[in-house]
This record gives sequence, C-alpha cells and structure tokens, in this order.
Amino acid sequence: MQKAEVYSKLTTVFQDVFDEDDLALTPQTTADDVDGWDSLSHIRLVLAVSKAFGVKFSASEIGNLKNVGEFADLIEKKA
Amino acid sequence: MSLTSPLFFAFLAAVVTAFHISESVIYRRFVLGAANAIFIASYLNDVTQVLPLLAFLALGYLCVSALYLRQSALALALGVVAILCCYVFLKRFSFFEGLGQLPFPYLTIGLSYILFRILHIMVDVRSGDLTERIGPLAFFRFTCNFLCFVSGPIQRYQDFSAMDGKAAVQLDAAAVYAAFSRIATGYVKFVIIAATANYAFTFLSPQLLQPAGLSFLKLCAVYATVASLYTVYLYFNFSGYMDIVIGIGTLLGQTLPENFDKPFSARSFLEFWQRWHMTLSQWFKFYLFNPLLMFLMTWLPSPALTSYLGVLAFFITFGVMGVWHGTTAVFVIYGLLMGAGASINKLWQVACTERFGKKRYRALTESTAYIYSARGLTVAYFVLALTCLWVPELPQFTALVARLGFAGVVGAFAVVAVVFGIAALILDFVQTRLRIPTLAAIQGGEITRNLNLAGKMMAIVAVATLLHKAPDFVYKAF
Repeated sequence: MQKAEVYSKLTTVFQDVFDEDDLALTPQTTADDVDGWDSLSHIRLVLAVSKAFGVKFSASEIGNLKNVGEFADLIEKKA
Repeated sequence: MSLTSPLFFAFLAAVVTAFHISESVIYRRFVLGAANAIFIASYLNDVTQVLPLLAFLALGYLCVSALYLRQSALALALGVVAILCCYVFLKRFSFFEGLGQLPFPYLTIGLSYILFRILHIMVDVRSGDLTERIGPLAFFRFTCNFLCFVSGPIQRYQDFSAMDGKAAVQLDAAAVYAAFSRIATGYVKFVIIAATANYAFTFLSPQLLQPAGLSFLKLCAVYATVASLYTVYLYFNFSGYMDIVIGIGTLLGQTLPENFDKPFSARSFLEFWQRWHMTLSQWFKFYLFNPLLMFLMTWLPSPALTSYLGVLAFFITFGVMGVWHGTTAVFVIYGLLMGAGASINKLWQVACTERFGKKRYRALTESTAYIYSARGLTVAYFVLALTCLWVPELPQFTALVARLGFAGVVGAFAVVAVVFGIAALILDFVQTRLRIPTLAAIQGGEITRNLNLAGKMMAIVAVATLLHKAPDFVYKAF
C-alpha cells in the first residue's frame, strides 16, 4: 500500500474515532496534539485501524507507538 | 548480598574488572553468567534452597521453547497458566494455603520479576515480536541478570539481547565518571535519606498501631506524618537502588531502563503511574491493560462505554498488580485503592471534557491553582494508599482504619494534600526565581564535580556511622 493511501485512510479513521472532522495528520502528530487521544481511546483507535486495514498489531507494537508516522510505517509494512 | 555490605562492593569490583579484561563477547557473557550465579548463591545456605527457582526457570524455558515450535493461542494460554500456577505455589499466597507447600525452606527472592520476564518472552514469541531463538544460557542471563534480579528494572529481552556482553555503551572518562556519580547518588538516597526516613518512621509508627490515648487531631497528624515518612523511605530506598544498578550497568556495557521519572511532579494520578515504577506499570499496560481493554471493546464496541470499560480494566489491572505485591488480603485492598484512584481520575477527565469542552479543560489544567491542587491530591492519595504496604496484615489494618475512622482518614488526606501542594508551590517558585549565577559557572569544573562526589561519600560514611546500619532494600519483600 502506498504511503499517501495509508495517510488518507488513516485520517478518515482518526476523524471517525476522535469525532473531529477537520483533524489533519502529519507524521509528527502525537497523542498530545489530538484532544481525547488517551490510553483508552488509543485502544479504540488501534481496533478501528486493524479493521480498516485488515492488519493485526502485537502488544509491544501497540504500546510503543510514539507518533502517527510510526503508526503509518507499521501499517505500510503489514498491509 | 546486601547492597551496603563490603562483600557486595568486592563482588562488584571483581565483576567490573573481570568484564573489562577482554572484549570477547563469549568471555563477557561467561563473566556475566558467572556473576549472576554467584549473586544468587550468596542468598543460599544450602544448595536445595535454589532448586525451586531452577525448576521455575526450567518450566519457563520449556514453555518458551514450546511456543517457538507452535505459536498458537492455546499453547500460550496453557504456558501462562502453568507458569502462574507454579508462581502462586512457590510464593505461598495466603489465599491458597490449602495447596500445601514444599517441605523445606527455599529462595523466593527474584521470582516476582522473573515471572514478568518469562511472560513477556512468551507473549512476544507468540505474536512474532521476538523471532530470535533464545539459548538456555542467554535465557539465564536475561531472567537472572544480577543487576535486576532482586527488583527490576524489568527489561525487554530484545533490548537485553542487543547489549548482552557486547559493551553497547561506549565508556570514556565522562561516561565512567557519570556512572560512579550516579552510584554515589544512589547510596546517598539509600543510606542517608531513606534510612533517616525509616528511622523516624520506625520511631513514630508504634504510636498508631498500639491502642493508646491519642487525641483526634494528634492521631491525624501522626498518621499523616508516618504515612509520608514511609513514602519518602520507599521512594528513596527504591530509586536509590535503581541509581546504583543503572550506574553499575553502564560500567558493564548495559543501558538499563529507568524506573522513576520525578513521580512527585505528577499532575494527576494517571500521570503518577507513568512516572513511578515505570517498567512495572509499562509491563502491566502492555501485557494486561491493553489486551484486556481490547477484548472488552471488541465485545462492547459502543464508544459511549469507553470510560466504563476503562474503569473495569483499571480495577482488574491494579488488582492484579496489588496481589502481585504481596500475599495477604491487604494487598488486594491496595490494588483496589489504586484502581479506584485511576478510575476516579479518568472519570474526572471525561466529566470535565464534557462540561467545559476540550480546550477550556486543558486551559484549566494549566492554571497554577489547578496544578498544585492536583499535585497535592495525587500525592496524598498515593501516600495514604501505601499504608497497605506497611500494615500488611488484615487485623492490624482494619484496627488502624477503625481507630482513624472516616474523619481521621479524610483529615490526614487533607493534611498531606495541603502541605505537599504548598511545599511544591514554594519549591518551584524558589527554583525558577532564585538563580545563583556563579553556581552554574563552577558546577561543570573538574574540581567541583569531584568535590561533589567526595562530599557524597563523606556524608554516606558519616550518616552510616550515626545510624549504625542501613535498612535493607524494601522492595525485596515484594
């Protein structure tokens, strides 16, 4: 899957999970930049991403994600 | 081997020297493996005492090997159950007295942390995160690394393996100095601050546990003081221990993970747990909280339920963490109190976001009054919840709570919260406003930094002589 395609699809998932239609993602976006992205909604986000891209994440992958860039790289590798 | 014994120092000197004799990875791995064996042997009076530990390691290795062959969920589940049953039996939990016990005394130190390392390897092998085959000797060096044997930090195998005997840390004069300085700081915390707090704690705490006629106000004040002293003791004892092992780790080419990141600067209870005993809380987050929450959210996908599922997951996670800390019913109370703290914090965040909106809530949390109130409340809650650790027997615990009553507990909570909040405010104000210009200029100098180190050593000697003996490492018991 192309990176642009990953970001486009990922943005839709983020907008849906955090209920914010004008949410824009960059590789540097972290949990601090998105209101409501906390340890609980992170799990909801991971579930939504798994479903949208048809991929699975391991315990340490889920726990170690630092920013959107890492998330997108991981999806690109798996999808 | 006690951390403050001359024997430990001699042991360390020998290990560090032996490690640097040759750069051969095989040789260094041999040195580290032998060091682990000698360290464990120092706790034994008789060779039979180590057999249960060896059996536990063997079972762990067997489960890991089985998972390499068959990465199925069933194999993982069976392995986890086998490891947990063996652990619960060996730790002699008071709830399972009916299970019986081994008919001889044996070593239980280290088991609690070996458990986490084995479970982490099993989960990661099953998920494909860990593909490297672990040999039996590497397994021993990882699970029984003498630096982390007694009480962590809990490393990941992947990080350990990258450094195993390889001198991953480049040692130059500055790095070696920093390592020794960190070790000395650790001893200052351990031998001076923690020991003094423990001295005062031991002196004052009998007043609370004996039925004597203290007035209500005095009872509140004594309880608040004793609980705070225990927290100071626990923090400096544990974080001092971590400074010492992380410093030694540098000298042995290893970068061990940090376990504390200024926990008392936390502005919420949830943030506190990101700063306190970090490798433990991270382990629980990765391997229990996240998978549990994922399981719950898969079954109940409505976003409206998120915070309630979070509360349930907090209670279960902290409950398990509480039971892991000790073998009596009071540790279940400890876990539930921590779970309640995290849940209240989460529900408060959710309620505030709904009431004020995300932006206004964020602005509110950055106001001075909010910050110091939140810091005071966070620390007070933690300080009082820690009572479970110093009154671990249920009859004494209920007697203490009954004596204090609801008013006594709330009173002590208010005292700690207000005193800590105000003290933190003053301290931060002084630190930002008061700058001594000359201090920064001379701080980096060769003489000053060595003088600083020598001063620490002198203070350690003076206080150790005064107090006669340093307390043991508190977390060894958990």
